[in-house]
Amino acid sequence: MKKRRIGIVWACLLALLLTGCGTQAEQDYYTQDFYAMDTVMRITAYGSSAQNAVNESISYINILEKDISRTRKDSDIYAINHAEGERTEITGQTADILQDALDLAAKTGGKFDPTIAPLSDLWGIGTEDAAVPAQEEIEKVLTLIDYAKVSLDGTAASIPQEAQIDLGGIGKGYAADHVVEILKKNGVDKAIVSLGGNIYVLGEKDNGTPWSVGITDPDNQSDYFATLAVSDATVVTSGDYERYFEADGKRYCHIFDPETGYSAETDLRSVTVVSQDSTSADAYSTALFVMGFDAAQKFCEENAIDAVFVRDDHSVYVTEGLKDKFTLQNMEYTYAG
Amino acid sequence: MRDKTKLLLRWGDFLIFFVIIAAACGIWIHLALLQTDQTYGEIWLDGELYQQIKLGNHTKQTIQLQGKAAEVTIEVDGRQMRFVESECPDHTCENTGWVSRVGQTAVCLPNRVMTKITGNTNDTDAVDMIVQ
Amino acid sequence: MNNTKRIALCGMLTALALALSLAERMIPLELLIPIPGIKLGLANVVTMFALLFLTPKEAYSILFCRVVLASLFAGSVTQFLFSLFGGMMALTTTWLLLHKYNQWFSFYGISAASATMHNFGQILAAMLVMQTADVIAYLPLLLVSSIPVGFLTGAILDVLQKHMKHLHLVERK
Repeated sequence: MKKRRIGIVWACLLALLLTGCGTQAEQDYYTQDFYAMDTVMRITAYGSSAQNAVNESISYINILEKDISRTRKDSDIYAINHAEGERTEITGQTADILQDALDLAAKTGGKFDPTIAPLSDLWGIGTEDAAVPAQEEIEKVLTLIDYAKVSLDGTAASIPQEAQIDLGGIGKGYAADHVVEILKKNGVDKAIVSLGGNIYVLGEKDNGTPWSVGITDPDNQSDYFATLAVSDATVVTSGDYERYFEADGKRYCHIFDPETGYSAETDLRSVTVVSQDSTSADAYSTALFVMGFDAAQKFCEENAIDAVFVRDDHSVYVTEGLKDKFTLQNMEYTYAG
Repeated sequence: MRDKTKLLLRWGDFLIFFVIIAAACGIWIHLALLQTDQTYGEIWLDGELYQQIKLGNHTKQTIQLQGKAAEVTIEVDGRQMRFVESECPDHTCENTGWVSRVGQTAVCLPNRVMTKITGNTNDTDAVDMIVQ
Repeated sequence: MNNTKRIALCGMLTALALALSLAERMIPLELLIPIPGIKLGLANVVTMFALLFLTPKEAYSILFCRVVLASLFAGSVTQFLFSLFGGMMALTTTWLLLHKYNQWFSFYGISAASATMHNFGQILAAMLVMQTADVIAYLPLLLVSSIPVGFLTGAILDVLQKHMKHLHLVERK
């Protein structure tokens, strides 16, 4: 009898033990993939208010897109572009981002230019009829491209006839900066915001451990060739591999030189800018790419910009401030230091 | 006879219990070892999970799906996957090539189709995000 | 024991097994231990009892009828397949242990082995039906759970067979 009792006690203990295995740690983050601004975006936020913060961020991006989209007929930018040179009233937000774009264009000497759209339209990269245009067409379009001809006065803007504004070059950066503000406001202090090439890492991955952000391998877009250990920073890359077409054995990428009217003739494959401000990082990565290595390196020194350059001979140059954060992962590249 | 014996558990019983616990532990350890590098290939259509494929060395599959604009073909071969054909204007997704590491993604924007590799990884090199 | 009595007893046992397996579903054991397919296996007591006091053929018939009826009352085709597969494996194990190696094992060990084989059978059927090996993840905990479950059914069987002997309802084979 006694032994049977012991057996039953054991059975109960085992059953209790088994129940202990069922509970699992709750996931304390919320992640959402979505499409906006002609790209795929992902926001991952940690903490109890993550879901609300992410949803608010997505609504914000949708509202921003409604203001600055070039294709939506109800957007401010569409209104300016179709005003035949007339003054157009725009929202405060559109004015703010347009002002940022003009300032950054001035700062980069026009290498980044928010009025470059007629040129990219002419080349049609990313569409089925991408082709090298005739020289006279390029020259005709080049006369339209000049950020200095955009007049912005408070919340009224105007551009010359046939000119076009496209804020796509800094739109995602601007969105990233504001999403980070929204996340912080909602009490999120740890998040990864990835808006189609603009990444913002908020906080640290774990206490004392920074996030690891991979930089795309220009030769193999699905992989990365190096990593950056960063926290509370934005990482933005511009490269020739994103969108391009090939004609007569030459690769024409989607980043144009506003001076020549051709795809940037550069000795760089990609430029990655690391900073606290995603809007300017977005514009700088484009401008630095167009400048070419020597001018870009000089520009970074003068303006205290942290960047990683990949040159077309597979050498990699990293600015002083990033050296202890950078790790080369692919040995086909040489780290020039 | 059975009812005469005072001894409730016989030695064979302990053998049975031992075999059960050994089998449970064996399977559990085996699964735990497998899990560490088990990866999944996920196909997302317009923000919704369309299909999840368990990736193994012998996985071989071709998936065709109707994207937002046109038909997309995705090939799964072993532990990697790629876009093979997409009737879209830019063909960026096909240029992306194979994805195989956890965290890697490839996107066909016009069709709003995204492939990504997920799973647990012990790979300390794994990145949190790739900037493109 | 004459034929009529045997058939009546088989019918009663089937009804009892059915009632037990249906009643068992009302016990929310899955809330306590969150593994799909976990149960006390009370109906197993009946089939083991039948093996003990009737012929294996009759025990298999009772099992088959119970599984068919239980899935008719509550369940699906897949559930039927899982139960049948698991039940058959459990019963065969019990029969082998009870009749071939009786002197080595007690009811507790035999019940535990039986429950284990039931779980194995269920998972095997699930793997075949669902064409995936993922369900195997549930197996370790299910296997361990068959030890306390074996103790429970073993204890019931132990008590039962002592009382049944006094009743002289059936002669022990």
